[in-house]
Amino acid sequence: MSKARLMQIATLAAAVSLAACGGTGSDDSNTVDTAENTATETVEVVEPVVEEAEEMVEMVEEDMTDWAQQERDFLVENSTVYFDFDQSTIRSDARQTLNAHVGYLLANTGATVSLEGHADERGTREYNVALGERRAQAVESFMKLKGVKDDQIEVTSFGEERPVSTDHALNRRVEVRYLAW
Amino acid sequence: MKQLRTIIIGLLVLAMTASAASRITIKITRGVDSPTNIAVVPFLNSTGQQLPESMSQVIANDLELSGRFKSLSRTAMPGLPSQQESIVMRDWRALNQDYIVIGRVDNDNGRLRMTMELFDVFTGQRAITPKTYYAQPNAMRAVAHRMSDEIYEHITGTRGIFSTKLAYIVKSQRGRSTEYRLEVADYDGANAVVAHRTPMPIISPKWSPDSKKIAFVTFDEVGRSRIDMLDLASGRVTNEIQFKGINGAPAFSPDGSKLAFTNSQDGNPNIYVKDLRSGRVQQLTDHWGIDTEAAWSQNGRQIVFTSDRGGMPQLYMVRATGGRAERITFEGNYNARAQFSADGQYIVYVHGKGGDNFNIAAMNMASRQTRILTATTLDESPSLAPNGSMLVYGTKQQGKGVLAWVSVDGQVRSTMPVVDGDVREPAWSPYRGD
Repeated sequence: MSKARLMQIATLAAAVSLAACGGTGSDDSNTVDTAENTATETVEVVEPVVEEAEEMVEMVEEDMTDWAQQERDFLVENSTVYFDFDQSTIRSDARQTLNAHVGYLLANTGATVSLEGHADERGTREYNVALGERRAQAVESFMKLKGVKDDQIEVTSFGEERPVSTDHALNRRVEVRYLAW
Repeated sequence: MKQLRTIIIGLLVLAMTASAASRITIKITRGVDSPTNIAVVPFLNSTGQQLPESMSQVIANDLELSGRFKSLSRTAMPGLPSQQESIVMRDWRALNQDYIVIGRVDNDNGRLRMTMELFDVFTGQRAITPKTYYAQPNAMRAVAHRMSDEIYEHITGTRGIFSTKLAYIVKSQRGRSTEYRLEVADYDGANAVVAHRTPMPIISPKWSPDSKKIAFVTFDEVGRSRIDMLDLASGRVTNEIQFKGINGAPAFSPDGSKLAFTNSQDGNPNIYVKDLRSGRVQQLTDHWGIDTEAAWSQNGRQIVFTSDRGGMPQLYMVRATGGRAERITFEGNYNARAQFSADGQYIVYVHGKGGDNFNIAAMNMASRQTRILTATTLDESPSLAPNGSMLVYGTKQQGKGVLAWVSVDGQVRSTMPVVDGDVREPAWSPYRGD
């Protein structure tokens, strides 16, 4: 019985912490006690179980936080996609990275990003600002086609002003930068 | 007999801090075949003190940089006259000199009195009416540039540019952070002062026609661009243009009343014109391609701009009131960032042939004939001197950005040695007070 109840609480705890991510955790946690129909249980038995359950809730929440943080870390580490010379077409090697961001933005509709376009140093600076923007717009189109909302995306461009390498190929890029998670 | 005109030079006091950059010397890498020979004799110094500048050296340097002159070295001079009576013309004729410049620097109640005289060696006659300049020692260089202007204008018939200024951008590391400086210096890079500094990139500085303001493009931390305006007298920076999308490539109309710029609020970059008095903004181009880098013709009636509507960036012309754009470049796969000459007869622009091959080119607007002026790689941002005789541009030396000068006939090239940081985006000032 107590084991089954523990399982039940653990499952609920997971639901609670999931809901907590959505910001409505406190209401759901109140329903745990009222939903339980175990009034005949002795106090001596219930108390340690409740303590254990609280520990479980904390443990699961910690796991969830870690997992969300890990996802954000992954997105920050994989925030750049590259382009061919004078091109703004999404390369096939960019899709996996972009899909990860799309997944997050779809699951977190409050999250917003700026798509920062960049160009290599060849050509004029102003034209390269425009070229960087065009690349960022290509990423924007890709994300919108997959359902990311208009107000979650801002398109900007640094042109050739923020090189990360002497290798032209690494400078022709779009960086996905989170303005809000 | 001596008709003296007196001029007092006041130092332009700018709300700026002096730059740490040391004096920039100019190396001329190639010269004209038949220059005018001129001997600039060291000026007599009667002040009894060490002077901060050698007037004759600044003048000789100016004239040589123009590419039209060859100056006689001091060691080859048969004498160092400082007044007309001591010039033995035949000695200078024997050295094939066309002109001789003499002068002196005297004390005058705590300031300096400077005079310069120019003689035609062939006729032995005074060539220009001598002027006397009064200034503090720290303005000696400015006085020498004024004297160079007089000499240049008399001999070539064209107004000199030695008293004009350059604005340019320096990118440098300060500890672990990057700093961008908008600097203003003499036309030859000397006397640099920092007009504005920021941790964010600055591009496309442009002088207002009255040379009182500089418009430039900068960015915020996530790459939103805007056009700001620097008031040189106060040092104050105010925002001028910040619409949705990219904001760039500012260009003042010749009368200073309008500012053309690039904006992409409709999803792709088009050219707009803002009336600076009313604040009203009008759209000039409307095309799905990239339209940017507008530049006005001197009469204000035409605008040349870069567009990739044909696939690659090429130059197009449109009436400043709008209408159909006409493509004007067909050679090379990259032609961009044009500027009209003051007489409207030609444009200079960036010409690319593929890879890193970007050079500065000039096109005669009547014949549409083009000529490539520079021979390095990654040459960019040409900016013409107000008399149209030469232009300054950005290039790379040992991987660093440097400024370089070239005469518009392509005959004379010189570069500024690498200083503290990357130097780029030069903009040659108009004539002051025009």
